[in-house]
Amino acid sequence: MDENRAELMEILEETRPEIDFEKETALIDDQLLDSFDIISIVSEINDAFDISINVNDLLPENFNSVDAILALIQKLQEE
Amino acid sequence: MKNSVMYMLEENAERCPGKTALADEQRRLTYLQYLDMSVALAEEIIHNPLMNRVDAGEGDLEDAGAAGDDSRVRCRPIGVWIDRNILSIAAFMGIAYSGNFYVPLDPALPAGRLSVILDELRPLMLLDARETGGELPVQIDVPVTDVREFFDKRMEEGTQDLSEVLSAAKALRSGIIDTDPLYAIFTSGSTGVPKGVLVAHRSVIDLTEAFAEAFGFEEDSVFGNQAPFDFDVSVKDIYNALHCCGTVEIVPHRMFVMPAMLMEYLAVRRINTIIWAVSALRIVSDLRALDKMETSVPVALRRVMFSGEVMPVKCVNYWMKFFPDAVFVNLYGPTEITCNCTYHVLEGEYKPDSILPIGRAFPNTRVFLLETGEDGKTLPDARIIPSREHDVRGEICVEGTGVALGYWNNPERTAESFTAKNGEPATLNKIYRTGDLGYYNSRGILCFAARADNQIKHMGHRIELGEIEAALNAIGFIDVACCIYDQKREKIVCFYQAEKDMRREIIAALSEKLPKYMRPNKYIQVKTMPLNAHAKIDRKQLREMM
Repeated sequence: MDENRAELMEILEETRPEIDFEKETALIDDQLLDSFDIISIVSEINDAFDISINVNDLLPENFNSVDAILALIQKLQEE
Repeated sequence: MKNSVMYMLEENAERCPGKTALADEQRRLTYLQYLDMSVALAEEIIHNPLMNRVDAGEGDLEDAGAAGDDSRVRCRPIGVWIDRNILSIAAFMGIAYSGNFYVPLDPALPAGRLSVILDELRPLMLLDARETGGELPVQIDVPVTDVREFFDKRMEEGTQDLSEVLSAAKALRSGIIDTDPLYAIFTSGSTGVPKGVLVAHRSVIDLTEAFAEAFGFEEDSVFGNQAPFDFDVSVKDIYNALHCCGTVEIVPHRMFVMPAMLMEYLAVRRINTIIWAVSALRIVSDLRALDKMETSVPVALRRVMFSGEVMPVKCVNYWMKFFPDAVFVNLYGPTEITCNCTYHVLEGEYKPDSILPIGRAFPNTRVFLLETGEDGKTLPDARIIPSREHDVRGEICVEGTGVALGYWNNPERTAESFTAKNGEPATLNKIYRTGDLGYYNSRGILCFAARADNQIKHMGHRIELGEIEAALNAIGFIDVACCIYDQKREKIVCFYQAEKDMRREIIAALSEKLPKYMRPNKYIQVKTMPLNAHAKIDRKQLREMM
């Protein structure tokens, strides 16, 4: 799980270096991430974790925080 | 005569006053209400006390009244704090009726950049179309009108009688001629200061006529607006809809962040025409958002048009699979020639390795290639490359009514890019040199090749790497910095020479100055910047270090 976290943090920080991802809990609701960030994050997560995030997984509650994204990754890995 | 874009609004209000012209998530305006709101806003602008003071010749804006044939202040900039709403469009049209030109301002930009833009612009006043209201991102000493408050009050009062509104409108726009500027849109500038591209009424009228001739929009066309209003892609939605008496539906921004609801929105709002940035179509195809499309009514897209950067074939093939009956059009052109100068209607599916042409010139526009030297720069006496010469690269140049007036308050940059035509001393027509390189393919159709300079397209934005470098080099603790674009991974990589790792500090400094899409994704510290034989930063070597 910690490995997942480190890998995810690397992806997120390279996409938007100025956001403090450990702290933010409303990445989507507060419009911190825009559409291109999402594309880039989703495609890199798909590659890194060998999962396939579906358009129906693209809900604010799955992307508002690092914990939420980690939970989504874990859920899709278990499927 | 068609001496301003407003003739279209008046015609529509007269013919179909009750038809929906503009809609966003919460509001809608009929053509009569649209006209009424624009006229009322124009009156508000004209009767603003500051504008009267300018008329009297006070202050540093003394010259402002000189452009018109009456005492009204004309052809001066008025900024609009934009939002994804119809208030923004009504504000634009109100400014146009006042005889001045509008400048869309994105309140989400960093205050530092907004200050630079406002310093360049020196607007007469500002209209605030934001939904949230509250404090403005930058305070400057000009009057501000709250458009939302104005709108609510006007709606409460009820719309005026059609003939009264029409005669007020006609009185307002007498004295406006089609060479007057309609808007300025700011775009990245390589020296660190954004450039305001100034576009006249006649260029926009020409655009709507060219699009109508090429594509023939119907009166029941519903344009699903995706592009923010500070991008000129949105100009096509606003004015093509006016030209065909159609409807603009502003699609909320969040639909493009979490696109699960996007198709449902297009269906419910009966959107049948989309003129989007390539990046927006990619959001849908990259996330395979059409695979599980479930909507209450079918999405009936007639036209899918795109521009802004090179369209990946797999993206357009994906869309075509789901909308086989729609017409797909690749559009090309920089802001300086008023949206687009060429178009290519796609013919069926494309092979994965094929390149979509940018196609042929729109009616009343001439597009040609000027031969370039080894370094990609156009030679002083460059010849025009004929279309029978295949695969020869040249700079794409544009001539016609669509060519912008120039860059606001920037004669040097204007003279560089808006030049006389080579080898034709007899015609004094200005052409625009795009800085894009193109070639004719084996069928003689024009294709885009690359940039001749360090301009990039990143996340749908046009960015001068020089502007990012200027911001970096202005930071005290950086000796020198250079940016390289990693096209494959779509990341801006910053190399900087400094004593120690200053990543955090650089990020903090840049967030004050650059919009987020211009900030580098990756930072690499170097002890000494590699130089080439000409003692310039060796970009090739940096590229290898990525």
